[in-house]
Amino acid sequence: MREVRQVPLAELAPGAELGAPLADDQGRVLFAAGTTLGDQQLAQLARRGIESVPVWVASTESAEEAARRRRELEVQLAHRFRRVADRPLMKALAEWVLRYREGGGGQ
Amino acid sequence: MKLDVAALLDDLPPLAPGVLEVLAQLDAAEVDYAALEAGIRREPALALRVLRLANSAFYGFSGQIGSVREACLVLGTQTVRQVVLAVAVMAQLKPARGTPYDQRRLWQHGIGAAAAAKGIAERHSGVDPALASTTGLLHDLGKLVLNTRFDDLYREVRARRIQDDCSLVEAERAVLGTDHCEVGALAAAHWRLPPAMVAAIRHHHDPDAAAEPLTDVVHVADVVARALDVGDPGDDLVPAIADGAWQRLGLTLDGLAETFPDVDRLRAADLLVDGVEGAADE
Repeated sequence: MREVRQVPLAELAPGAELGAPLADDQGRVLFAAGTTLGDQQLAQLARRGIESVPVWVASTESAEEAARRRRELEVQLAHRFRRVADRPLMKALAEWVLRYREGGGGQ
Repeated sequence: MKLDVAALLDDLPPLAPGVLEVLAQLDAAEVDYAALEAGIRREPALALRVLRLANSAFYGFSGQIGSVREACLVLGTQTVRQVVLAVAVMAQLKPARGTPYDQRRLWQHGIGAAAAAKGIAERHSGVDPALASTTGLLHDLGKLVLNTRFDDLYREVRARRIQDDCSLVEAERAVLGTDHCEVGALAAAHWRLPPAMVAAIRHHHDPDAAAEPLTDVVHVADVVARALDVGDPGDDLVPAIADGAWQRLGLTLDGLAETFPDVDRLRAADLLVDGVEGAADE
């Protein structure tokens, strides 16, 4: 499990993955969410005076929080898949989406 | 009632001549980049969007691309083609104040479907990924047409959809006697888009009627974008993947799931819809 947290630039090692798009003062997107920050990108951020960035980190979510989040995801998916829940392929697709979202994919 | 689609097409302006010229330049066997740059620069909205996309993080040149020619080289002709078409369609189908659906979120759904279609085409079909991506982007063209040209009727469609808890396409058929698939295909043909793209737009909800790889890819991509809740396709129902399309593509769920991160990455960037008016009335 992982989550997005604002981490000081000084604490980041190359390879960190951005959890949200990063924009400059004028709102121009510098890096999209999902960008892997290498040495070059980290140096670029430092030059721009950016002090902290939103990156994916291992989750500190408690077991109860994780269970609650899973239930919320299940309710949302059951709602969207309500007309096709009796179809094996669609049921399996909903399970894949649940696993993907649970693992932090895109959220 | 049956919507007068012929009258709709009479009323639909052609794509800007400058845009058609750029599309023709992009289709040439050998692209003349000087002519392409000149053509794009004559359409300021187009030049701006091409430059912004090339300077976005996806391509790793943030803020370094100053000329349209460099931008075209960075993006590649297929991506430029997609941007050109999207900008041209957006220019003709601008939402008025208070249109029933938020057009920005409709485009976001198209962007999600474009990413999924590209991913599916690359991994599981003989379809050109660039064509799949562009068709995914425009598969709901009919919704944009109906939302902007028939906003009163489309408001009725929306009310019916909510009242019956049905899909948007079912509500369209009940209220309009036609649907966004037919309207979108007619608009795409009117604008002389490729026949395979027109067929995919027409049959993305019933791919077995076309049994064509591009239609199958776009049909499944639409379902993926809905399953991942990207943008707003106009209802909150994930439709079933047609058995025929699934079998013809030879897809597996783990193969399909490989496209999920691509869909999310594009959603996060939203580069194409920057500056698109939403204009839904709620």
